[in-house]
Amino acid sequence: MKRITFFQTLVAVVAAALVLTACKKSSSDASPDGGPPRIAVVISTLNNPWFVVLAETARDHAKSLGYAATVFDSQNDPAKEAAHFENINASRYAAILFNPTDADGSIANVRKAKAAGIPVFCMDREINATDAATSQILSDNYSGCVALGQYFVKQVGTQGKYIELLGLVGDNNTWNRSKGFHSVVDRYPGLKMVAQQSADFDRARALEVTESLLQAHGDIDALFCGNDAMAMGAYQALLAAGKADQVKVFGFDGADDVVRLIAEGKIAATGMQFPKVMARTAAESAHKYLMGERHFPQKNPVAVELVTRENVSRYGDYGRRDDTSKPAQ
Amino acid sequence: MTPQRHTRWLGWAAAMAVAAMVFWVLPPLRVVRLSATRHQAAGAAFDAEAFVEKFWRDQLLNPDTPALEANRLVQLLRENPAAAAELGRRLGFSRNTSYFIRGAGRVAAVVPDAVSLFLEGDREEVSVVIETGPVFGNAIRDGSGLLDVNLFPNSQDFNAISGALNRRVEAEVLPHLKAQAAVGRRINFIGGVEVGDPAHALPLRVVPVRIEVP
Repeated sequence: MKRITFFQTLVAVVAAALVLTACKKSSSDASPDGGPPRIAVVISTLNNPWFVVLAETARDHAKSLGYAATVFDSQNDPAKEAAHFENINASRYAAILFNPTDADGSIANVRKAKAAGIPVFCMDREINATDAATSQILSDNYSGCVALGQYFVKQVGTQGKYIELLGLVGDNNTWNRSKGFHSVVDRYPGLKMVAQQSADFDRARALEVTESLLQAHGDIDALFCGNDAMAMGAYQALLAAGKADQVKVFGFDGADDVVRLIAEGKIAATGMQFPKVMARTAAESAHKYLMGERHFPQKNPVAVELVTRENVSRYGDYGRRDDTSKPAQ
Repeated sequence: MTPQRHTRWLGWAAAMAVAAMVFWVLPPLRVVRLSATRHQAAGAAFDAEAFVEKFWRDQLLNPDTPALEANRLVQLLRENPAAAAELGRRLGFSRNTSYFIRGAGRVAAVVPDAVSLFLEGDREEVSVVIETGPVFGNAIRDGSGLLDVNLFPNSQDFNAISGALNRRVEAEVLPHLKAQAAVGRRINFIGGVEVGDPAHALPLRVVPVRIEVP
């Protein structure tokens, strides 16, 4: 029998060690410290209660499914988001529940995670690619704002002046909302948009922008805001200017403070998104993926429902009071 | 000029000639007119009107495109809404169900923004309304079941299709209906319909892609 040399033994030991290391690396659903597999929840900003609900629901639902979950705040900064992804990829998380900062700019981050073998499930905001994320659970913003636009016309009438506050200009939700709204309101030539300005989905920024715009356009009849945080900021500015009773404010999100103000007759309407439904669906999809399921719809739109003074009693706590799981299925 | 200096000049000239050739083949920058880039950008963007032009002609008006009989849908909505929902389409998590239907009826009433119909073979009750004012929503896009949201990387493009379809209905279908509709006249229609709450689904509010007044 041929004798095995010291060199051959050494090569065999090194090869075995490499194989074992590779096996451990490919098993991404095992936590490096031996604890439960980890899921990262990457959120565009936590400086808005709506996104806090999205993040906390995703985190808590992932935990209830047996995972360790960590929330990362991108602070609306694509550079911070990219750094989070580097960290998550290097730390070998099992899955990412992702609320992007930018529909185009965030694609590269998702692709890097995919290349690292980490599935990504987008929540609420989409990325402009259908081959990067495992699935995208998104609000049907356009249809929601078509309904909101129709209600706007009913409330304001077919003659009047209004201001539009846009969200982040790099986010598809901003434009889907704006285009849905304008697909209705622009059909009535008597409704004049006297100003359109971004307030970055931010309440404080909306307060500043509205205060400034009211200087030049004190005779407006309505304000359409691309989210409820901006609606709250705009309402605050109108209140300070003594115009809260004459200007109708329309928001979008279904945030609790706006739903309360609709019930009090101070804000006209909002579009109820379902952040808890989206977060739970994303966490459940990640769980199914890690259990071996591979067939997911790339885009899963979640219906948005119009909330007005007439039906506001049905809504609260970021959803419908009669159904905390899903708007419909 | 000394021979040494002459050789150095020749070397420089050769190097410049090579550099010129490289820049000619692989230019480090290229100057183009702004109008040309605008044209390129427009070409790269999704053209909803062009998409709808083809979709309308090849698919929506194609006689082979499946459409549910309006009478059957109306009957199911009255008697068995759950069975009616099975025949429609839902986009993701939505409460609305959309259908693509065909039917024939007699005009029951004409008002400034709508034409209402008694369906043929149905009871004497208005079960279809065709609104003649501005058209909104996704009744045709989603009801037809021919377009898949998963094939559109940017949902703004998918939504732009609805806008373009609705404008086409307003421009090409509704003027014909408004001109021909009169109480008692027979009308054949094909179109999309969205149903929210099945308990209040009737009359169906149809967005037509084709109207025939024989």
